[in-house]
Amino acid sequence: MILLNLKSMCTRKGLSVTFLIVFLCLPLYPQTQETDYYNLQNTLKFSDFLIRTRQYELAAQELERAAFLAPGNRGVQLKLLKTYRLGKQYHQSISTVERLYMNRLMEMPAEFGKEYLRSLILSGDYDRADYFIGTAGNLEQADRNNYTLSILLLKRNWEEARAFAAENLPVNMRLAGIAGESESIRYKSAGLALAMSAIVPGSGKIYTGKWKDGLISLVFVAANAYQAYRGFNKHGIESVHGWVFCTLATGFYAGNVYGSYKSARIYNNRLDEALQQKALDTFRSGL
Amino acid sequence: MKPFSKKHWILFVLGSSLWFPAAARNTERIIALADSLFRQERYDHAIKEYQRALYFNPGYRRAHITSRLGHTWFLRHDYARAAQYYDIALNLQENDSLRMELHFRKVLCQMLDKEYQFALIELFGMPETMPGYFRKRRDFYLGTCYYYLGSLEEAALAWEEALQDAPRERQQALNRLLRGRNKYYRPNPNTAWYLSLILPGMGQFYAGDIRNGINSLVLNTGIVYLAYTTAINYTVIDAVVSILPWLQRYWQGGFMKASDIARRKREENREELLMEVYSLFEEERK
Amino acid sequence: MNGNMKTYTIILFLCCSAAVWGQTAEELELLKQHARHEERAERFAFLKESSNELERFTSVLFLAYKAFISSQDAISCVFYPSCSEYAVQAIQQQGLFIGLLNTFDRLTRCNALSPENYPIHPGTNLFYDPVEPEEHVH
Repeated sequence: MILLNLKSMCTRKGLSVTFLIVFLCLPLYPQTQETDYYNLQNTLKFSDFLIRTRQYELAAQELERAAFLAPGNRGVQLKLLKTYRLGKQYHQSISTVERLYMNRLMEMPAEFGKEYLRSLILSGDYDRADYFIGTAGNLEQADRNNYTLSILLLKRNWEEARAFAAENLPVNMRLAGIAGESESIRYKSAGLALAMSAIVPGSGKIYTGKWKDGLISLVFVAANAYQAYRGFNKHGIESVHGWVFCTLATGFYAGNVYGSYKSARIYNNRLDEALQQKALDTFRSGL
Repeated sequence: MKPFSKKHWILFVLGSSLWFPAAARNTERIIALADSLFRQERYDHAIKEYQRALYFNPGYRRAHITSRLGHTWFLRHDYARAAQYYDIALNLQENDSLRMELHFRKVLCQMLDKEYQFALIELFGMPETMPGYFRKRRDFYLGTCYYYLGSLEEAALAWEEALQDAPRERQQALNRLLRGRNKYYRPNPNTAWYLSLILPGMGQFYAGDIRNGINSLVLNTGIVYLAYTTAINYTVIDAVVSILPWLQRYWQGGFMKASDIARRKREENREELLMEVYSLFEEERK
Repeated sequence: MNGNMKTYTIILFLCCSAAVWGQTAEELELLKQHARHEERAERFAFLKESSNELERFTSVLFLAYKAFISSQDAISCVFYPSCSEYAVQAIQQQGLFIGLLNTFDRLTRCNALSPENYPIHPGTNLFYDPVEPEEHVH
C-alpha cells in the first residue's frame, strides 16, 4: 500500500515533503515483518523453555496447540507425550496415543509404543501394558524384554523376574541386576515370630529386629501377670484387682502374639518395597 | 496548496508507525491478552502468557509484567513467589510511588507468609525520606512486625509514630491499649504452672478455664482416694507401685496443661489487642 | 475466607493500577484475617461412621476418655493417630477381636524408642502409624 501511495504521490506537487516522509520511513519496512509468537516454531521454543523450568502442565498446553498447528508432525506429538509423562499426566498421554492410533494401536511406530508403555506402566496399568507388549507389531525384542521385566519387578514377582531375565536376552543389565538381588532377600517367617511370642512374650518382636518393642512387651505382660497373681493370691478368685490385671495381661499377651506376626510381615514388606523402589527408579531414569 | 496536506498527514502517520517495532507490537498484544485473562481470574493462563511475553521480548515492559506476575501469585495465595516477583518489579520500577507501593506489597506478602524478620529487613531497606503518607504506612507495618516478633515496646513506639498526626483521643486510646498493665502479658504461664503444682486445677482457674480446672481437681482427688484405699486394703507398697505413677502423670499433666492453657489464653488476648489496634487505624483512615 | 480475600485483593489491585493510592483498608482486612486463629478441622469425623451399637459405645467411651482423662495427661501419645483414636478406628475397620489385638500391640509400641520404624506425620510432627499399614503387603 505504501508503495502504491508513493507511486501516485510522485506525480504531484509537494514532492519534497512526500519524499522526505517516505525516505525517512521506508528503510524501516523490513522490521514490520510480523513475528507471530503463536506460530509453530515459536510455540515449540516457548514450550522448551517451560519444560526447562519444569512447568510441565503449561508446556503440555503449548504442545497441544503445536500438535494442532502441525497435524501429523510426529516430533511434536512425541514431545507432547513425553511432557505429559514428566508432568505425571499419564492418563492424558495414554488417551492421546489411543486417539492418534485409534483402531490400529498395534501398528504404531516403536517410539510411540515405548512412550505408551511408559505411561501405562507408571500409571500402574500392568495388564494393558502386558497385552500391548504381546501384540504390538513394531517393538524391538530388547524393548519387549525390558518392559516385561520391569512389570514383573514392579509387581514384586521376584521369582518370575529372575527366570525371565535368565531366559530372555537381550535384557537391560541394571534390571537384570535388580532381579538377581531379589534372590538374596532374607525374609523373616511370620509364623515363627508368632510362635516365639506365644512361648516367650516379646521374643517374636526381637526376632523381627524390634528388640526395644519386644522388651517392653515382655515387661508389660510380666508386670500385669504378676499383679494379677498377687490379687488372686491375696483375695482369691473374687479379687477385682486380680481380674483387672488378668484381663490386661491377657490383652497384652495376645496383642503381642498378633503384633509379632504383623511385625514380620511389615519387615518383609519393607525389603520388597526397597527393591521395588530401586526398580521404579531405574525404570524412570530410562531404559 | 498547503505544504503539508491531509494526504501527507496520512502518509506521515503510516510511516511513523514503522518506527514502532513489530516485535513490541506483538508483545503488547500478548500482554493485553494476559491482562484480560488476569481480569477474568484465569490465573494459570495469565501466568503462561506473561511468561511468553518475558521470554520473547525480555526487556519489554518488564516492570509491568513482573508486578502482574506478583499479583497473580498473590491471588493464588503463593505469597513467597509473589514476594519474589514484587522484588524484581520494584527494582525495575522507575516511578517512585509505584516502587513504594511494590515495597509495601512485598512486605505484606512476607507478613502473610509469617516471615516477619524478612519483612522488617525490607521495611528498613526503604528510603529514608518519603512522603508523610508512605512514612505512616511504613510505621504501621513496622509496629505490626514488632508485635508479631514479640516486642510490644518497639511496636508501641512505631504505632505511636504512625498515629502522630491523629486526633488526640485516638493517640490516648492507643496509649491506653499498649502502655501500663495490659492483656499482652496476661495470664502468665509461669504463674499458672506454679499454682497448679501447689493444688491441681488452681492454674486453670487462674487462666479462666473453669472446666479443665474442675476436671483436673476431680481426677487427681479420685486417684489420691484410690491410692488411699489400695494402701488400706493391700499394702502401702502396692499403692506406691500401682497407683502413684498415675498420680504423678495426672498431677504433672495438670501443671503442664495449666501453663499451656495460660499461654493459649495469652495468645488470644494478644490477638484481641491487635484487633483493637487495627480498628484504631481503621478509624484513622476514615 | 478465600472468596472474601479474593475480592479484597482485586479491589486493592484495581486501586494500584489506577494509581489512586487508597489507604491500607484492604491490607488491614488481610492482616486481620491473617491474625485470626484458623478453625481446626474436625479431627474425629470418623466417629460418625459408627454403624452399630458396639461401635457407638466405643465412640462414646473414646470421647469421654479424650475429654476428661487424656486431656489431663502429662504423657502424650507419640503417634498420629493417637492410641485412643487408633483403637476406635481399628475396632471400626477390623472388628472387635482383631481391633483389640492391634490396640494392645499399639500400646506396647507407644514409646519414643524406635523412631527409625515410623515416618513423621507432617501436620503433627508425630510418628505416623495408621490403622492398616499392611494394605501394600504382597
